[in-house]
Amino acid sequence: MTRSRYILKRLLQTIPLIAGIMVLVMLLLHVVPGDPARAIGGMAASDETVEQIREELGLNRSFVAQYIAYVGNALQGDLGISTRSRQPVTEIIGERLAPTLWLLTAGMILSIVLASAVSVLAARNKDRAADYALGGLTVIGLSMPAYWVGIMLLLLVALPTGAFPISGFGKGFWGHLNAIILPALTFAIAISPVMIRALRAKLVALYRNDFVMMSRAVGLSESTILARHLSRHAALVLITMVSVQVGPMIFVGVVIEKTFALPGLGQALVNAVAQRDFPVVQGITLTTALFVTFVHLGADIFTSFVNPRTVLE
Amino acid sequence: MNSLFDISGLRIDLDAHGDRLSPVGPVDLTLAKDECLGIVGESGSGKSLTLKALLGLLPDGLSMGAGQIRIEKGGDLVACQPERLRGHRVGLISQEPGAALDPLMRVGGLIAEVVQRHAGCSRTEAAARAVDLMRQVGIPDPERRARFWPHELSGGLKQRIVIAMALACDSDILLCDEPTTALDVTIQAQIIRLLRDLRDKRSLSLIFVTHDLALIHEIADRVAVMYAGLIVETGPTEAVFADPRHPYTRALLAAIPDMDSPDADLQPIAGAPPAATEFGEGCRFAPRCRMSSAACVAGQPELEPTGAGTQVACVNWRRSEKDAP
Ligand SMILES: Nc1ncnc2c1ncn2[C@@H]1O[C@H](COP(=O)(O)OP(=O)(O)OP(=O)(O)O)[C@@H](O)[C@H]1O
Ligand SMILES: [Mg+2]
Repeated sequence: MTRSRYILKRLLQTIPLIAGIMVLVMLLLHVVPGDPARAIGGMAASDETVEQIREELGLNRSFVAQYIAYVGNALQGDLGISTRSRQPVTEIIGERLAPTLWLLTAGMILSIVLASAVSVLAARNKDRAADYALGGLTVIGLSMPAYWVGIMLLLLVALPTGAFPISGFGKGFWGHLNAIILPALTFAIAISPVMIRALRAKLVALYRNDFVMMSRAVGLSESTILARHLSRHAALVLITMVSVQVGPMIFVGVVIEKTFALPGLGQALVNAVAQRDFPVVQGITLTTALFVTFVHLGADIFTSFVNPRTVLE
Repeated sequence: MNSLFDISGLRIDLDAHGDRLSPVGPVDLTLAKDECLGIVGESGSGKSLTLKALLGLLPDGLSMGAGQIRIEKGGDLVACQPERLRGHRVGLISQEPGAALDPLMRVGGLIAEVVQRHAGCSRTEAAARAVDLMRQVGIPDPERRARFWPHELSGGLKQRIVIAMALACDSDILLCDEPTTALDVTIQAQIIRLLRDLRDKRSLSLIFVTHDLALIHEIADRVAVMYAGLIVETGPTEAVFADPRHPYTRALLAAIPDMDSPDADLQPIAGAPPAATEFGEGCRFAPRCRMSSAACVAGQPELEPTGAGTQVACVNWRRSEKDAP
């Protein structure tokens, strides 16, 4: 199988996946015990109001009809209207997307940089003091909850220095960047330990590999071996970690948004759930699920470029 | 003899032991220009470790405890660090061509990388030279195959790529660690022919490790027989094969199936070679030796000349097999 065929196959696979995701998103409304329209309207609402809500959400139609309508509207960029603010859901998502994307992107980059540096250092000093020290730090990082790390950074860094906002997303590019540093650091402290474990183990195994010995035998320097050979293997490990861990990462992201009061999707989701604002909950859930799907897809495509053998399977 | 590469007193130690444990050595080896030195011995006798030590490539937990490595430079033998030999004077061809190539790089790129590091030329020039090297090691259609990934090549072609990488360094000494063990017989013969051709064309000197005595007989000018980390017999190949003196060498030769008289009984050597932890005071072969005597356990015998151009480390080398009790 050629790479382009593999990629095409993977792209086609995502279509039924997304259709399935949308079924689950629709079901969200129905997992609430009792009548969803009543749940949205609240106990005090009159029967007419509840009937109106039912009408508005299309709950009086069959599930299949609801599904077709939802998918049709979604394809046209319409995810419904918030039952609270009467604002279109896509607009809410649009406003809230930036902080979340910033957090996930910056957090991801920082995690990968941190994990790479620590893993290389630990693997090169295997079973020496530096390796044990870094291993200890990794265990500590693993055992600290993200919200606690966030609060500590606020108390010990943001407040005393005054260099970082203690809440919000700042103004303009530099404002955003400044506001995202501590949240991204929190993210990296939560996420990188798992990466470090996998990557260090992989590097230790790679250093024992025959091809590393052969690269040395032909006179390649340690830095060349690291930069030109091991980096590719490490990239595969990291991208797999990102792909597998993207769910937990989003969860950590929600916690961090709450800790740093970042006005992102996570916050919006938490609020919408509390207010039983179903269209918003559905819209954000769909966005998240699509994000996860595309991260998996992107990881597989990346892997197919770095590792020729994936295309074979 | 005009020495090109000379190793004396090489000892390889296990790091993590209170008592010093040395799976290899002390070993002396010398290689003349344009010569092929064969090292033969059972699995676990320390052949690979010896070659790795010569380039400072010992795995974690092992280190070169003693020994001097000297290489010819401007007519003299000068001492040098093994690491300094990598990539220009001494090349290595390993036992497992499949594992020796980075699976995530195209084979042309792997060779070009070595060319580039060695000649300091541009990327495109290195790529062109890589294709040229692939042609020299007999890879058909090298332009196309340069774009192949290692897993797309057969074992024989992979081994040729490894050889091309070694040639890219312009080494004058090639260490071959069982370069054909992982290959089937016809491919094996092709690789041996290639190594011979290269040896003549490029005036390469080889140290060739194997446990295949027939192969040694075919390719090596001199042979060193290794047992439990020590050389027990060495000399010109013809002389050693014609009149083996060490009971271990004799046993090895007796264990080869004889094509001319297939009905003759094979005589495998009973028992297994000792690990480094089991090395005793005396001759390490004594427990398996049919000729062992009280003198054998007293101390490890040194190599001594036999007068026939060979050297042997056995207190009983003067006694012939017939005298064995
Ligand atoms: N990394 C290591 N750590 C400890 N001992 C080792 C290590 N590698 C090899 N040894 C020991 O050193 C001895 C020699 O090993 P070596 O690989 O040199 O054998 P060999 O002669 O090349 O055998 P083969 O024909 O199987 O390749 C063996 O007894 C082995 O157990
Ligand atoms: Mg070996």
